[in-house]
Amino acid sequence: MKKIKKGDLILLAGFLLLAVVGFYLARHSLSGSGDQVVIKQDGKIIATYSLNQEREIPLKTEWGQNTVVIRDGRVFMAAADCRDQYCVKHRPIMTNNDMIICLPHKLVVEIVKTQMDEEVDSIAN
Amino acid sequence: MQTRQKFSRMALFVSLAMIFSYIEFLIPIPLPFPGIKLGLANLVIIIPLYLWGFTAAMGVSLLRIVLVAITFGNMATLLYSLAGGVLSLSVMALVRKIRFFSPVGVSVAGGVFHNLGQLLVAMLVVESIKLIYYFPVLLAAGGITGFFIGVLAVQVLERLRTESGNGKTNSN
Repeated sequence: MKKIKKGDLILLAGFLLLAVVGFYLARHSLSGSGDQVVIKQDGKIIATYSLNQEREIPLKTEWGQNTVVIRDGRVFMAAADCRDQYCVKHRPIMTNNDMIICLPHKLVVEIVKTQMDEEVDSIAN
Repeated sequence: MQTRQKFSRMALFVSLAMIFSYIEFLIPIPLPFPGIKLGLANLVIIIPLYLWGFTAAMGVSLLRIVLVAITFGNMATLLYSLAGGVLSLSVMALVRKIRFFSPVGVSVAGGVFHNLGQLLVAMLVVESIKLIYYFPVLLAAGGITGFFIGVLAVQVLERLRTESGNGKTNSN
């Protein structure tokens, strides 16, 4: 009856091509270095730290507990009591725009570049 | 008789979809990315779509989602399942109208839009557009898993058709 049609393969190839382009764009925008760690919960910034200062940040909120660790210019989630543990398994982040998300706790930990750095960059460019 | 058979089969599909969801719940794919799974349940959504159309398939899909959430699932994930399920099935119903595609293409589109629906909910939950960085992974995963589910769906549909073509009742 209904065998695989050419359209199916074109559609799959199109999506995969789009994914490859997306990978490339994502990698490109994640390649810069940042200097600040921003922690957001429920869409609001709850804390900001320097990426260069070693620190262990225990967070206890109405959604649950997370422990963010900043060490050697990298950030990782050392512990969390969320149900899926994706944030704990996430590789340490170190580049600008990269982030760790704890979806059950509505938590986003991201690395950003501060305004001052951007100015220095644009002068350097 | 026809209607009764249709409803009993729809119920069968709902229970099959639940079992498939449960299997996937028991055996998560060991990838460091959230939300990637084979989408076995989608197999039992595509088949009603081809047999009886959009409304019946949506009925099966919504029943499965709600039943899974209240039995072994999680109320917190209900919104994700709903967004993924409704968006995916709506897109599949549209793609099905295009003669250019077989159930395989329909399933590919379904897999991709299921993941897109869930990503959109996640964006709303953490209020961050930056989650778009996950889209390439979800796009590739949705397309590939959708392809395999589509190939399976074609096989099943072919057998169901031969069965009804031969006039076998096969009702146990």
